[in-house]
Amino acid sequence: MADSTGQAEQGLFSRIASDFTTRAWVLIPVGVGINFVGGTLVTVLKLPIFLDTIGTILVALLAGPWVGALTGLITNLVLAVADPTLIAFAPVNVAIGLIAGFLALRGWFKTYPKIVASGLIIMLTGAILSAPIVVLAFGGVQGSPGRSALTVFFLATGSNIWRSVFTTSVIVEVVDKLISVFVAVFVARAIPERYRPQKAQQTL
Amino acid sequence: MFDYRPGDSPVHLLNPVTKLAVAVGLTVIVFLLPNPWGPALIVVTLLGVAAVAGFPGSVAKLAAVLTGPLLIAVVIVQGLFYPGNETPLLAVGPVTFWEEGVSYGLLVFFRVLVVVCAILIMVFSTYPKAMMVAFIDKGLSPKLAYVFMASLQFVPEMQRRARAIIEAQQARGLDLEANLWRRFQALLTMMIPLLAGALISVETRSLALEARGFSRVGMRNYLIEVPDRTTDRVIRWSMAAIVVLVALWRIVL
Repeated sequence: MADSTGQAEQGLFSRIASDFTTRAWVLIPVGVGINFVGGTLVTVLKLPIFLDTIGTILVALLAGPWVGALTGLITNLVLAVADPTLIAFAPVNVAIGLIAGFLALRGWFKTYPKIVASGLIIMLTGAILSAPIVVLAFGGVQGSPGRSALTVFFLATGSNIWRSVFTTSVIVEVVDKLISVFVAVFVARAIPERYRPQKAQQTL
Repeated sequence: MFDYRPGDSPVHLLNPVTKLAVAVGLTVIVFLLPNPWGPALIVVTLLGVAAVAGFPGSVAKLAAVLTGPLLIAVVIVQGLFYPGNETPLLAVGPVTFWEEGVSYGLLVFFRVLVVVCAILIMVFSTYPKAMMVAFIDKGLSPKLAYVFMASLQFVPEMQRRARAIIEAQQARGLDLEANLWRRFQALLTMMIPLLAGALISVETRSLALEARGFSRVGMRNYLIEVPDRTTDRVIRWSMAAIVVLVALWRIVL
């Protein structure tokens, strides 16, 4: 397995490569599975949230931003074999992995106020990146009928399509991303030390 | 998960890279076309291709399920609020649907439908391992291919585990009909065993992979061979040419 010591002298590319240890590679399918299964659990519990990015955030916490970003990308590509429209949202999931990973490296997942802030930053990143995709590729409509109804409500009150889509996604996702971030942190901390990748020592 | 339908139609025999190239090319084309007719015509053609491959019903049904809600929502949103709305089409009580908006809504719908159909045809007609071998032949890193395949297999496995944990917690008194706060609490009692278990299995998997030379560099051989025929090359180059022509036509006009 590659070692991540002496990072300062290495270039960006080899620093990224050093994050991809065998354990990190194996972590990615697990992250994809977690992203998927969050959706199953909220359906069973009939909760009004998605929890479809817990895996991306968790992998970013455990193995750094680049592995987190790849987890996001692979999630949307793999799930696209069942729902091809998800490919369009791959950039959002990639960005969530990157942001969560960089925040984690700077210690933003260590105290509760900072975890809340991280959740909000991740939510805003998602909302900003998904707005152009929703507006340009899907005509302003995405997800459940309830979500579309909310967008129609904002349009009817006179907002333009961009602001309506952005506001809808902030309202719908703020609780979702906060819960996702906390679940990811709790789970990451619940993993025994010896099963954590090296990177996790910097982030938790 | 990966709903492969075995067969020996001309569509099945194409190289997976060709199918992906066609899907990407069609995606670019439908986003260049200005009105719903072009994309609608491509959808009909794609259903014809699905018929040749022997699964027109499955593609049509799944595509309808995936994009049906979009059709309704986008026609409402754009029909009522499209900025270029000028010509009234239909007035229902106090609300008016406008021609320009409905047309734009249909354009969005058919664009998405083309992409959905093209990818579903690719998925239904391609053996997943053959797809990965074909991509590795074209220069995809074997590690990325592994991650993609492993994810495909891991998703249903995680779902099985989740079901088992839900049943185990129900046997211990978990109430799926309790109030919202209780159900939120129940989420953690399911997440932690599920995720911790999955993460601990990571260690075992990484040792198993290492023992099989996962991080070795050098030549690799594959169990299956995926031929890249002349037909494939002809289709890929024609697709590229059509994309360029459509782009030129849109820029000149």
